[in-house]
Amino acid sequence: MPLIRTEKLTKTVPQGHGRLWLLRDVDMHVDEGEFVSIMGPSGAGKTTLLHILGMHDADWEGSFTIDGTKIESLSAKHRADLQRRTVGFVFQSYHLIDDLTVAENLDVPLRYRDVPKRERESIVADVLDRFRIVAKKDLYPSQLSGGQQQLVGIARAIVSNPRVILADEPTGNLHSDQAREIMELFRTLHRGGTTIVQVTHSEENAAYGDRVVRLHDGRVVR
Amino acid sequence: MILRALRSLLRQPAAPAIAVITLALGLAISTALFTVARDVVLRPFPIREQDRVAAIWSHVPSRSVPHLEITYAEYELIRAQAKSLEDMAALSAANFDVVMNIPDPVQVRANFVTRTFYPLLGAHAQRGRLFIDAEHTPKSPNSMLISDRLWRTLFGSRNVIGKVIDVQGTQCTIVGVLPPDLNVPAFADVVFTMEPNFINASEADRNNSVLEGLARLKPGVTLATAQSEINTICARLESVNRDQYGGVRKKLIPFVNEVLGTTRPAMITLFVMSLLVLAIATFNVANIFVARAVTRQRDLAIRAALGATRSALLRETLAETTLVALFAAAIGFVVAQGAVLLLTRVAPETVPRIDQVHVSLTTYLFAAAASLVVALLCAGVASLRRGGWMSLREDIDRAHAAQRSRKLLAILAGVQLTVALVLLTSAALMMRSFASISSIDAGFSRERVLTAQLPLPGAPYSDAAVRRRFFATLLDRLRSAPGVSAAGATLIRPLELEVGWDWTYTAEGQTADTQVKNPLANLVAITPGYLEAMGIPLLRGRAFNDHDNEKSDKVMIVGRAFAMRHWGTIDVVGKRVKSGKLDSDKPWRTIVGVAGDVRYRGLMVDKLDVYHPYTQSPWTPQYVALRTTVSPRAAEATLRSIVKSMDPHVPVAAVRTTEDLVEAKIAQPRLNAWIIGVFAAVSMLLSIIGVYAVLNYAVRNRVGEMGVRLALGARGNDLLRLVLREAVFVASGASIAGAIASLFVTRVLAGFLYGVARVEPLTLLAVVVAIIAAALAGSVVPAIRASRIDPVVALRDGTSWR
Ligand SMILES: Nc1ncnc2c1ncn2[C@@H]1O[C@H](COP(=O)(O)OP(=O)(O)OP(=O)(O)O)[C@@H](O)[C@H]1O
Ligand SMILES: [Mg+2]
Repeated sequence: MPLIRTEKLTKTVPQGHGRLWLLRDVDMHVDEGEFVSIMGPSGAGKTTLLHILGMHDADWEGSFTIDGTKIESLSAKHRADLQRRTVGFVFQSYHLIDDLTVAENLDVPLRYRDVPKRERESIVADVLDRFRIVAKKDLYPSQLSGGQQQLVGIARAIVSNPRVILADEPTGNLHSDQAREIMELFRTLHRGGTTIVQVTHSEENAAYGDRVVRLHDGRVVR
Repeated sequence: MILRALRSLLRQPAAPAIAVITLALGLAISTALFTVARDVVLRPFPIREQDRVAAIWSHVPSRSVPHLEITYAEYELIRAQAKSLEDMAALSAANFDVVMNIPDPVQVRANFVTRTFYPLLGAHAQRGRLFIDAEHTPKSPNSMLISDRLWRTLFGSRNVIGKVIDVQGTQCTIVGVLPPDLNVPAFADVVFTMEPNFINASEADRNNSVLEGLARLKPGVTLATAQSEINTICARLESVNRDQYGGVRKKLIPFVNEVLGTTRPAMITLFVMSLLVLAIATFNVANIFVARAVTRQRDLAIRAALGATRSALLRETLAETTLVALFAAAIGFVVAQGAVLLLTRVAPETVPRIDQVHVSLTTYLFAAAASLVVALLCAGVASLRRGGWMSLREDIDRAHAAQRSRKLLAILAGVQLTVALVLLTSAALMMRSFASISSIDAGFSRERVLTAQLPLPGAPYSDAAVRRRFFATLLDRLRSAPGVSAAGATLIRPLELEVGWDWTYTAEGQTADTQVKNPLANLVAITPGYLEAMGIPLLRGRAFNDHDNEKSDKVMIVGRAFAMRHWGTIDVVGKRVKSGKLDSDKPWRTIVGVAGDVRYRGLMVDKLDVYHPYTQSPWTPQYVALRTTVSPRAAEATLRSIVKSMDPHVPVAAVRTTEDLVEAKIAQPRLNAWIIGVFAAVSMLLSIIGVYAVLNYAVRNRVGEMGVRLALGARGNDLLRLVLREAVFVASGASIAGAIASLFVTRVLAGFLYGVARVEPLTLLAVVVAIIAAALAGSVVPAIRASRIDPVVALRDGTSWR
């Protein structure tokens, strides 16, 4: 059974008198441990799809299951619980919290998962170590380079030990050297067993993954 | 330009509307209170160089009697000897009542002054003239001056100069009308010359302590220098005449303090508070504009990138701010007028010059302009900040600028809460003080007692026996009138004046040493029936009756405190007390009764009470008191008709229920509590708005961050808490700062607090809770807004964030 499966996933938003189709009958699946890249031209609906997969967006039709659980039949609360348990999110422009240090940024997802303080400290220390950013732990995001910030962004996504990482153009704002570094990191995580879904414009990045899903005008093209 | 600013404001009307309301409210309240403070305190009196004028009072250091009147003899002596004084004048320390027949009898408050009085003040007549020297001689042609108030009310502003009026049987000519704002002698409606009463008078009259002295210091002479010279003169007088001047000293009090009395610190506090409220309102407006400028930074940056110049952008902000200020000023002016009207209505009559208070346009415009400038500065600085619109490229800088502005705004909100806390503490103290003042037991019944003054006109009543007969008959007839259950008369009713008859006495068994320590007792001459009519409880012995007369043994009734002080018990019937010092040859009086203590001189003035039967005293009663079975107001008609049937020329004046008497004394503390209460309420409201503006801005600024947090697993409640925590943080800071500031402010207030410890921990705690509640109230809307953020929208729009 795939970890993620969508069938006839459709999203529309009202526009004028009619509706604007953002996604149309999207059928896709991601198996546990897979590294999938979503590609497509700008405006194709990649970010829209990722937000639905990340369960921020509940306003769609069709069917979407995670590990066999039907998302459309979950209450908002249960959906949020499931999200906390399964998903780690990486943003194109890092979206670290400015007022918080690197270590504090890593702490945020754990807090929202009600992890006890002791445990949080050791997890954060562990992750800082794994990502080799211990020296940076007390710096603020503005004191880091873009690549370093995204490193923290990814560290923050995996700190809660999610089953799947959703990354929306994680290297979109980076130089190619830095981008390569990030993709190497994804590869390492992938080899460690983490499921990854990334949105990317670059074939080079897509090559790090197992498989590409192409999106065009809200439809999956084969 | 203006139209474009208006359109821009109307596109997002909420913030500008709040700014307008805030500023209007702040302007209105602060100018209203400033105006009251200014017109009562800060505006100079129409007196030439008032700083050089001082009042002169006697005091007896050994008896800690603060305020004694001076005598005419002392006026002449000091005036002749003091070299540091340019001149000295005197007036009656208390107004006296006279009855003018025009032709119906009207009782008015009168005073008399020495020849030097008006020249010393440098005053001029509004109409006619002041007194001439010939009028200050024993052969004075009976001239008088009238007050502006009397001129307007009684004479309808007609020409009255030269008009001859019957004053208690003497024909007096009005020679002038006094200027409206010269309230010395305070509240006197008629002024006569003093010299005719004293120049050829008996030694006893000349040594009667009834006057207040006024001095004008020579240029360059300090109050201290003048005081020490007068001390020397007093010492000299003492060495010449121990009997008369033993232990008596004089003290100089700056005239302004004298006239304004306790009103001055109150009004200065008012003034400071009005500035604080205006400051809060201005901070708020600045807050709103800073927030507006920052949220529009990107917008402005893009426009700047498209070629708009710095000054064009600045002009736009300024145009908007100005527009808001103009609206606010217009609304605020109307509200200020209303507030002043309200204040002068609730203010007690005894607040000097309260009737002359009016909002001046210049004051108002000044306040409006001042707050506008501050608001503009804040908005301007915010929109011109480096890292603001200059750096479209530099995301990091912008994020930092936004963060710095947020800190600045939080500090402004904190300042507002601090001020609100201080005002709230003050208000709480004032209200508790007011509560304890109004709960003072004045010692008499406040229900169903009517009192009135019956000033018997001079001519037919110059003989004391006639006056006493009049009162005896009147009381008899009143007692048998329907609706009256008891009636009595007294020399002076409680809470009438702050002065009264001070009685020096010796209790039987006292030595010279203990006698000297006796305080001056408050002496009241009363008729039988007075205690019963007033509802003053008789604790021991008996009340006076008709057998206590000129020929019977001399008797007296003492108050409970008098008995307790001298004998430690109230079982003192039979003990004896006499007038004067130990060696006086006055006869002993036997105590026949002990009455409950009464606050005669003021609600907060504790004195020992002594009652003499009027038949055994040199005085005749002035006031009647009726205990009624009907409403006291209904008994007024009965009183009037009985008096009229006895003698139509006797005025029934100053009719007051005992409730009125107490009420008049509570008015000032109530006004104080009200004013500070209004201040506190307004500043609370303003700081709620302030907190709202700050947090609302913060939330709007952090939408992107909130979206990220949601994506990282935050629940709506987590975000709600995030915002509330900021509010609590700001409020806690404000609480600490405010609590410290309160300690200082309440020390200033201590002077007019009664029955309240300076800072009560419980009060402070309650106020802190209120402040935190206010901060939370201000943060509710932004917090709910934050908790409802849709992560998808936030993340989408959030790309513009950072
Ligand atoms: N809530 C919405 N209302 C209206 N239109 C929307 C909404 N959300 C997305 N769109 C539109 O849907 C289209 C798809 O948007 P989406 O952000 O998913 O594209 P994308 O594939 O991620 O593009 P890009 O590569 O530029 O990031 C765009 O044209 C966008 O403007
Ligand atoms: Mg996208």
